[in-house]
Amino acid sequence: MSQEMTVAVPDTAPPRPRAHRRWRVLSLVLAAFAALSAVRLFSGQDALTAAGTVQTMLAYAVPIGLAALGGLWAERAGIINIGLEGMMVFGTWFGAFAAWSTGNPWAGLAAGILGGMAGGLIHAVATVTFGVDHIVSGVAINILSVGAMRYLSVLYFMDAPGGGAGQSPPLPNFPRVGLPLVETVLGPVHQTGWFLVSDLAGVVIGLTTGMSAITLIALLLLPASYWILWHTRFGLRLRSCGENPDAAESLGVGVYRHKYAALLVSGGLAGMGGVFLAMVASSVYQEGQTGGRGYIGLAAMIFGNWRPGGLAMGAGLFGFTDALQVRGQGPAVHALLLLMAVALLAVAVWQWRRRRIGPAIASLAVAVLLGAWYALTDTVPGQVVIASPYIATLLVLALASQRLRPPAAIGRQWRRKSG
Amino acid sequence: MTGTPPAPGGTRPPVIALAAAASGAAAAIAAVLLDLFLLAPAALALGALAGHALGHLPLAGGRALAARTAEPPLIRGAAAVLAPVLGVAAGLLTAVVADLWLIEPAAYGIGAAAGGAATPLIHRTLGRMLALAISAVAVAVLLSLLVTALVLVVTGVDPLFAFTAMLDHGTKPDSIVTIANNGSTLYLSAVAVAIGFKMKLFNIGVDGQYRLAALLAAAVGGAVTLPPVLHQAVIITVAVAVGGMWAGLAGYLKVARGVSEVISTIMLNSIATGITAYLLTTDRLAVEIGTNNIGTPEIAESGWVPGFPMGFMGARVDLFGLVLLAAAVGAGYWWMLNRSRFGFDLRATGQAPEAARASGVDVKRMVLITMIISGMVAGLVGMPQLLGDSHYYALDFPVGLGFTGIAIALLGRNHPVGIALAALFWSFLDQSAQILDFEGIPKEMAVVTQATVVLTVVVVYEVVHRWGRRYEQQQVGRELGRAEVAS
Repeated sequence: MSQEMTVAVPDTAPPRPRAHRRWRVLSLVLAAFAALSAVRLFSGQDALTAAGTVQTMLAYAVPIGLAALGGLWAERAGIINIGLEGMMVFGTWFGAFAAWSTGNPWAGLAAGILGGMAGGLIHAVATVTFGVDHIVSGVAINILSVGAMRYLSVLYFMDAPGGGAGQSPPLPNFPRVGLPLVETVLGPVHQTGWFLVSDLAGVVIGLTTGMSAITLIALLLLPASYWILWHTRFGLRLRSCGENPDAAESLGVGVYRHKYAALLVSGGLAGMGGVFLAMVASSVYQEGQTGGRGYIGLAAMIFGNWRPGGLAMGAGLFGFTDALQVRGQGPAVHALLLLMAVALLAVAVWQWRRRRIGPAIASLAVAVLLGAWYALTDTVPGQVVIASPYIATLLVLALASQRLRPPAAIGRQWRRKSG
Repeated sequence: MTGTPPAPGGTRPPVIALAAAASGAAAAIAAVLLDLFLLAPAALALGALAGHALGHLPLAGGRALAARTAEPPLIRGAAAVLAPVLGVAAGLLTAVVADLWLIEPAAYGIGAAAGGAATPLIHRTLGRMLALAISAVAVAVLLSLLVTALVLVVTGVDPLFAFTAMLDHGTKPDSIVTIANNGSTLYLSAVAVAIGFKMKLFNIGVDGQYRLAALLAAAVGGAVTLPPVLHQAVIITVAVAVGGMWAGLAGYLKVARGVSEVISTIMLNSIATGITAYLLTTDRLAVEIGTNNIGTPEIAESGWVPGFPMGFMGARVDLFGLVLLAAAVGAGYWWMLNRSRFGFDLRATGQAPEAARASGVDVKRMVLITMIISGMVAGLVGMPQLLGDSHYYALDFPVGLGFTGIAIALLGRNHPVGIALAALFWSFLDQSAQILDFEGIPKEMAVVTQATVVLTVVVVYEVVHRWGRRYEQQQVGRELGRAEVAS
């Protein structure tokens, strides 16, 4: 009879106090920034921390971050959303269509978000109501989005002036916002080239001037999502659906309702990322414009351990390498090799002190290889630069995936027990 | 269930064969007679149905149906509807192909015979799950055609006109050969995905695997010159090895480091894109090919796989020789799943990993091997195109086949035959839609149909599956209740 006896496994390590963890993350970020600054000084690659690079980084990081945020909402409710890519495609097309036909960028934003939400709704109907496998449904949505949008483009954009089968006519822009005076005050400081000070000035300038309004909204959505998911009753219930839907149901939480809500928000965020791509990062809709950013967003979220702060860091990393590739070209990324070699050296020392000889030697070997690569070449081929964020993600996942903690009931095809 | 118990298995096949032959002959006669008054296809359909009816007569096919009476009415109903429909479809297909080099009455007579013979066979052999699966797919296809028709109406096109134009163009000899050619490529891709799916492994990375494999295989094939059979063998071996290695990387990361294969294969796709872009430059593996195109040096003729000339049915296009490879892979997939220890472990691990582990299956090893095999098949995806047509890997080599493969594997329910039909259906839509552009209708309409059919098929299949399971549970419950009362 006692077939269902289970043995409770105690947590191997008691969780550290939150404040401690926060300080550790903060000091790590600071150390990384200092190292970046040092590499900038040593290699003379000013593009590494230039204000322009920071702005470009934001432009690349925002759509990825929005997709990642969409992934966070869905996965916290227990639903894997690989259809983010398709929802972004919906966002790009509907955003472009509405903005073009009304001439108002905000109408485009609204339509793009609604388009993404429609994608989220399809995913919700398939996975929540009909219990279809989450990945299967997501893949189907991605296929659907490409086909449907191509059809609509041929229908509506083909005969429009400046449009084509895979392209919309030029679209209106969002207004730009920024703090006055910052550039005039900090500009000269940024030019000095001092260690840390100049770099910090560059980052501050980049973050406070000439920002598209939608970028600001996107940046604000990050703390907003954190607050809703972790500090409201709705958020607690939503996360409980992703951790233990049975328990949530027994406490009277409408699990289906919360999953639907999560997927609608998820789709809306992805759609907004699509609008950003069509109307801020570019000024026309183009077929294939998303270029897999929905997938990258998902990766950034996993990279960030299903946490808002972490996913922002992940999106920032992707955005940073993309920005360097655009602004600094090969030599700037070449300088990063040195940074990576130093970082891996630090990892090797740390592993050695923890008596983990194997990983230490492996890290050391890779560090030496990277160092040699840096010393023996002047630049990195463009194609390697393009692939670098993906390689970085893969490496991070390979090294840290044991420390990741996804929501417990993620991907489960959960059926409600009551009626 | 008070019907006659099923006859012992040994005596059935000859009876069925007899029934099939008799009904086929009857169908053919009926079709030829009716052809005098009616359109040929209609005559064929009626003929096949006549054959089907004959199959029901007690003297010939009665025993064929006996086994069905043991099944729940739901399944019996589905089988009774599906058998004639599938039979007529098979007959029409045969007739269309035969029509290409025979006169019409003869072709349709043959078609009717085939259809008439097929119905009792299908009716008898259609398994329970298969009947449900086919109904689900049929419903999904109908739904998606409806959605497409709706989209067409909304955008101001007559759907009937569009569908007729597509059907006309899609059944031209050249189109049929092209459909088979592209279908074989799609089939390989879908089988690669399906191998993973069977174990709940999502190999999203087939796309990167086949592109990398095709590039390196083309480079090796272009660099060496070997005697005929050996040359192709080397190229294919390189492709298989590269594909397997690239997918194995994802498998290793999952097994050793716990990285989800969904994410790692997506990353590996992008990395593969970077690597191919890096290698495919004139400094490295590529040479100039025509204007604005670079590719690997052309493979010497000893490395080509000649196509089958299809002039006898009026086609100017050759059928890829490697269509046979696709068929062999399909047969191998079927054998592996249903006849090998490995396939059993694979399915067991996919359906209940804990139970599989408890019965001694090394799940980690299975994950790694399955990923590698999936990648090896993925490596073959580019081969029909490379060895049968282009003979080099250039910038215009087809991309995105891996993602289409996922869709087709879903549509074909990971079944070797189902995937084949799905691949042909997909390829048919692609090819037949080409005509629409000439009629002023966007040919992307086919993509809408393809996408909708995938989405509806997953939903409908899930619903039908759940429905069937509940029905079965009720049956079992009823039987158990009865057994208790009896004892």
